[in-house]
Amino acid sequence: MRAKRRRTLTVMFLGLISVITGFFLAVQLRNPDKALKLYVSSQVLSELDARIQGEQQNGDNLRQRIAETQQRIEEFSQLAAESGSEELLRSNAELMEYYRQISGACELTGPGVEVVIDDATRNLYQWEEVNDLIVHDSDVLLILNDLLAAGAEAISLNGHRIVSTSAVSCGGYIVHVNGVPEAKPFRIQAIGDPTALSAAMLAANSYGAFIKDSVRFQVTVLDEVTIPAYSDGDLTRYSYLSISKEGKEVEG
Amino acid sequence: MRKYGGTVILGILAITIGLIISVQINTTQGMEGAQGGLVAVSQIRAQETELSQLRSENSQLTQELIEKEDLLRRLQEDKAKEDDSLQAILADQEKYKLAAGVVEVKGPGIIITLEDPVSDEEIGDNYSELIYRYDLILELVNRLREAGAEAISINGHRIVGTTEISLAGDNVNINGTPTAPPYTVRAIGKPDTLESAISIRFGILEQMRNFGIRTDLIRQDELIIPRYSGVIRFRYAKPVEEEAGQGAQGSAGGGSDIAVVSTDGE
Repeated sequence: MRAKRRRTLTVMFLGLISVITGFFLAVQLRNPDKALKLYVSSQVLSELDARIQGEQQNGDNLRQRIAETQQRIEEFSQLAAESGSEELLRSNAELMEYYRQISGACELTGPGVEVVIDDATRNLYQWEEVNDLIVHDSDVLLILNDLLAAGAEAISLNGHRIVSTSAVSCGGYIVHVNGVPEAKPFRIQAIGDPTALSAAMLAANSYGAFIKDSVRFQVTVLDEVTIPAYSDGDLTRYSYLSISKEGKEVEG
Repeated sequence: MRKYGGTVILGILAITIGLIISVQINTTQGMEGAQGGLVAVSQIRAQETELSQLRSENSQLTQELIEKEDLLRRLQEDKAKEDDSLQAILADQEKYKLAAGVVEVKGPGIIITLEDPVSDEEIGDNYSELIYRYDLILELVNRLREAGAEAISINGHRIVGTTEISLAGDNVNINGTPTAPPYTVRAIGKPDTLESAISIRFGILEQMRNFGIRTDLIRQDELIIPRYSGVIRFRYAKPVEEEAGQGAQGSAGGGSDIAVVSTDGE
């Protein structure tokens, strides 16, 4: 009889605890705004955010370009209407000069850095292979990319101007730059903010800091760097200007 | 006293477990915003709507820009018919614009789509293979250039001489603009060469697939690659003039993008 009473008591006690637990759980899980919720990984959210930011920036750029083109249209038609075409020629020549400079067809000078990458001279450690101590095309590529990310305005690699179509490709013991074979040491020169460029090369988590353990890597800040013009005049063979309306003109 | 000992211990355990559960729930619920976790569907919907709105707005803006550029080009052509020296200048302008990547181009080429691996974890998988291995994208672009690509764009961003592909926080910046996977890489060039160069055995596409990245490649007889929509403005670089020093000034930094006043060609 006594044992039975004690069991009933325990069951009641447990029951009470369950009710209280259930109540608290319900309070915790309660959805205050009654909205449907989903489990979303932070990756999805940050990607969505990046896309929105990117499109906003894109829109801003496009609006700027539209305003710029509008201004040029007005300027051109105004100058074209005037009798003396001297001013028209001058303003278009200025524009041509600007495009020439940004296209890489112009020798540029300014402050910047020089980065020299060369094969290591030390002996191999026991666990290393020969490949670990020599410079690869991918090393050069990542260094160039880091310089561009740090705001480099013009870059040359062993005297070859790096433009939008420049490839750095492995050809065994040599590397082809703009189609021309070049061997180590690789001398990269870049115009830009010397502090930003050298910091990007030497920062603790940069690629430069990573490879300097295995290859020779030297960064020099220079007051004046001269970057040659891209020499190949004929840059395009397959692409031509895309003109949406009348007059499909083939260019290049 | 002894007979209640077990119950007391059980009670303490229950409280501890309860605390842990509630803390856990609170943390996952509290991590709204950029952290992931339980997020209201309406919030995601709102962001998706904003994104698609921005996209359609931008395609309208692109169209508007193209129309304006066409108008300018027609004006120039009309005027150039009566003026030979203007014609020469404008022809040069077009040539350099084409090389600088500030005009939309079209031609034969290939389109490559890169998607992140299908994730097997449902929650907490907050890492994108493509973003953290952005050097693979860089390598792909390099291979395409090597194979003779003349114009390349990634997700609508034209690759120009100053383009970087860099990891910035949780996303990859291209031309200073945040981007996210999936990536669509377009390249104009000889389609056969482009395709073979990247889909060769143990080549870059296979390397990407080894990381689980899903790749897709199609060839096209004609594809359009947009112009670079940013501004290239040199703040440090100056053109090398033949020591006369006439007018070689740095950019004014104001409204105009034209950095240098100099009329003679070389």
